[in-house]
Amino acid sequence: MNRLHSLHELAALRKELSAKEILSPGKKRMRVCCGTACRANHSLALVGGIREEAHNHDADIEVISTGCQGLCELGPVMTVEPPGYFYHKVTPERAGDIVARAVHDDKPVWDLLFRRSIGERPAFFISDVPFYVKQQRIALRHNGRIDPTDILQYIAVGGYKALEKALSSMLPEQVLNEVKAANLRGRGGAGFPAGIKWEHTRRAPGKVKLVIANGDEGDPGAFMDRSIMEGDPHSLLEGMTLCAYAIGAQKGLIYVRHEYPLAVKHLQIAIQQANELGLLGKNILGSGFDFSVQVREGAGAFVCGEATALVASLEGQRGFPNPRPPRLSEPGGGPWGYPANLNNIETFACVPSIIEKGATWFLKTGTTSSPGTKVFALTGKVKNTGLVEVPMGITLREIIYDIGGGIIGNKKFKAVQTGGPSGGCIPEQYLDLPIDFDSLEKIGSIMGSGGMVVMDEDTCIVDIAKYFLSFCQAESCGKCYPCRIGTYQMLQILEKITSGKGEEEDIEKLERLGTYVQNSALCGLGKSAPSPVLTTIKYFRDEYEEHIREKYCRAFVCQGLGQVSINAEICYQCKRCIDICPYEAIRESNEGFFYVDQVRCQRCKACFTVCPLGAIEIHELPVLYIDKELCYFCRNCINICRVDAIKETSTGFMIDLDVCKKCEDCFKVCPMGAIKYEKEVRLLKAGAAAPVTIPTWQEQPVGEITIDEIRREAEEKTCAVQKALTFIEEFIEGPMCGRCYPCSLGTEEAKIRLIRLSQHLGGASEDDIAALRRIADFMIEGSYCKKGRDTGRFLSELLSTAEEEFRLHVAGTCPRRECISSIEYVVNPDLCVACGACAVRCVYDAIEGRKGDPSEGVSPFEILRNVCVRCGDCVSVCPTGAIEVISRVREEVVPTE
Amino acid sequence: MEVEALGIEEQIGEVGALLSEQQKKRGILIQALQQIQEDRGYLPEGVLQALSRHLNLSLSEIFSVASFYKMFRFTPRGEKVVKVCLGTACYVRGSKKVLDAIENAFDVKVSETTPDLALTLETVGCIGCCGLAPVTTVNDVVIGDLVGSRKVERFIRSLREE
Repeated sequence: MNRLHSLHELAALRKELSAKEILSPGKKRMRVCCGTACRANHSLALVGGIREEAHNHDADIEVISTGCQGLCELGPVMTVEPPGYFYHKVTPERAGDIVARAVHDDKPVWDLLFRRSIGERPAFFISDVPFYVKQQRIALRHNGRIDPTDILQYIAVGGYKALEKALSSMLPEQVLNEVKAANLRGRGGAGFPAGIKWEHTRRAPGKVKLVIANGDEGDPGAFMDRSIMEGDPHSLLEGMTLCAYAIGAQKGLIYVRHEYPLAVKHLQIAIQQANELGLLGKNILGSGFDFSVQVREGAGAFVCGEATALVASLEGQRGFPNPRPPRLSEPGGGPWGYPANLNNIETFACVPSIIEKGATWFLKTGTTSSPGTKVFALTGKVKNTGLVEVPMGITLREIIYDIGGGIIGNKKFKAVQTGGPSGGCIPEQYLDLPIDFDSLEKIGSIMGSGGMVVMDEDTCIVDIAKYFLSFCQAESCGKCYPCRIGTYQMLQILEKITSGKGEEEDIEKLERLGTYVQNSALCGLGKSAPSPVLTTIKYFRDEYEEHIREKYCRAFVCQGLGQVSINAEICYQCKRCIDICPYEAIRESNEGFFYVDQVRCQRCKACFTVCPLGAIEIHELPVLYIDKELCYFCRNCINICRVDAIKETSTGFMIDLDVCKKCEDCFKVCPMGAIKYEKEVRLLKAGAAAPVTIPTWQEQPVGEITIDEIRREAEEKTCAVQKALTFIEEFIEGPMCGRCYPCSLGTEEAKIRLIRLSQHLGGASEDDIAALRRIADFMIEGSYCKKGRDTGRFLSELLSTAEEEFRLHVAGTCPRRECISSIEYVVNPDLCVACGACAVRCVYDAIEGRKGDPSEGVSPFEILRNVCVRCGDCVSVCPTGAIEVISRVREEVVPTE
Repeated sequence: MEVEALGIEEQIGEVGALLSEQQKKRGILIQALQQIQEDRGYLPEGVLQALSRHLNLSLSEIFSVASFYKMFRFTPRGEKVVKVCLGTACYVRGSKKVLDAIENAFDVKVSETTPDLALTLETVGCIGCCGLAPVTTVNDVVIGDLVGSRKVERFIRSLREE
């Protein structure tokens, strides 16, 4: 590349590039995301595969490995032009398909297109994907479109136009005023207007000034700066150059986090290319303006994202912050004492657009107090995670539900944490709040660098606050007391609360300590470290109170809260809890019940979540003590205690409550009942909404059953055989004493013969009727007591009044259709209209067939005789009376009466 | 890498034009430490002594800086360096379980190395692949989406191989 000596040469180069058709529309082009996340999913292999395939096909395809395209969740992602199909989750093996489709017919590879669900139409273009619809890109305008390692592509898409404009037609003051008018606020956290900062530095005395870009992006969950440095480094360089021009600086430094090796590599390539082209270095584009940029790597300290600590780190010191003033923009404040202007990466990336298109254009987007857009790193429990750039003033709901696609598993939204560990948690009530720097500050959070971690109902808010605080505590540099000791003490209190040892005043202590730290810490890190705790106390105080008072964590995250036990009355021993328990704490007792071994139980509550009945209950932790009046030192309790919680003291035995696992073993073995509960243990949470009533078998008190009752029961039947059978069976069950033979043996034989008749077993015959008659006569004559004689009389009466019915049974027909074993249900094919009503009604799935019109050849329904239990339900629903009852033996229709 | 061969002018770059000799030497300290660590895997005391002479800084000052920043180590590292991300997104999606599993499988604690120098276990704040949470890196190769015990087991098996 030849060095450009004037503005005209840059314009000429741009013209030349468009003649060469670099990035011109209409050409076959594939843009593959090669951001860190997609690289982890083998996007580099995909690029190689596509290049190879294109070579094999002899096709002229421009393959661009771009920076992060945003939708990291579905990576690797890529676009194919023409016409711009958006593919997601592309594996390297698919390179062949993609190239073949592109070469031959410009049709998409259908299964790689994005679909919200399997039943929906695909989104063909990136603009159709819900994730991108509401986005508006200023800082990330080139991300995903150009190859970050090629300066010519950046120039071809209009890069360095702003620099060209500034150098050709604007004075440094004009550049500064434009940025000031655009009210560009620092994207790194606090939102201090960049223009005012620039002006401070410009006014500072001294000829030597520096521009520093802060790429020490340490907030967990934030990666927008990295994606700009990796995907569009020239935007950053152009923004820095414009800043240097406006404030009169000569040197620039980019401080990059040590964890971003790819960003360092891309920045170094970009700087080298810009130097070669004369866009950096001495006498830029012949304007007489000098500016050089170099990259400095951090060494893994979160606090170095703070401006004064960053300066110390640049100088080679420990990354300690320093009190301000002097500010960085004042003499003595910047590195080596030179005044310096420090901005965030994203802020610099916005500058070229503002200069090129003007402040009025920039002010059109966003809100009045915070114009422009903001990049958020959307992570946590949302369906689509990734980088989103949205105009200021958008609501959280739009970001989480429209762009992010809602909560994973459609769970309930709980809170969103903005601004990383320095920010706060925003509850559901503010979902519709238009977000900008000021509105977020008003509700106790900050915009921060733009991390946005979404939490659902399964996230414990106290645990999250503890997590953020422990991050800040671990990253505290230790220079000032409020931060070093204050955050440690706060963490100890939170630790206490989440392990179930919280005390009544802990919340107030946290608030007091938090406010102290906020007011007195030296740097931004310390000042904002208590924010996650304070905001969560503000909006989720009830959850803190639950942890402290009830020792209960509603998200079941905090271990050590509550005592888990199994309600043996509900439990039906399905063994799911035993399978899931990681600590083997659920045991089987000798009586066959399951119980929780409190010594092993870690209170992870896994069993609670799997129990289908809700038999697992969470109780308040019991407090046991030894009543010294009753104890006679038998040592049973000491011997049985598995954790050595019972100590011998000079005044007697004592339970060490910190050691005690509340297994209650000692309670059970104490012969004197000297071990007592301090108070009644309350049930905190039971899985079952209402206690399940499990039917238990109880022995009925046997009252005297009279013959009259039996007779009444028997008379309810219509079929004579059934009447007799019921009477005899009830008699044998109840009043029959077995003392005399006619009764005891006679009824048994009668029962057998009646069953034979009713079920037509083994060829029932006239002999059975004769035998029954004989038995009845014997009983009338020979029984000792009236009960037996009455039974015989009942049988005899039946035999004489309903002799015909008995005979029909011998022939295999029950005219009353009550002896179900002797009958069968069949579908009369002539009458069946195949409506299917019977099949729907049948609860035993005994009817088979296909709905339709029988005149068109649809076969009628069939009843499976082995499945049918002859309940008769189908008969009642059949509209045409097609279901007939036939005798099983004679296979003819049983007439209805 | 020979510490004495460290070119101060080329390390400090163009900013050097603004600085005094001692400021330059101090300014490249962190870079120099990074290069030593890249070369040796850790910061051996002997090399630091040489660096102290070369940069005209007392050894205690060098230790003070080196011990402040998280990336510097004074003990050698294992062949495989496994970093488990405990960033918010990964934490929420269960990276603690992954960490516990590795700790148990190799009997090491965080920031320890196995006695045979096969594996060093570390944690990081966030490596910016939150879309793939929970994430671990093995010698800077990112391995994501370690959800579920089966995936974790497979991952541990792959660590044991070779």
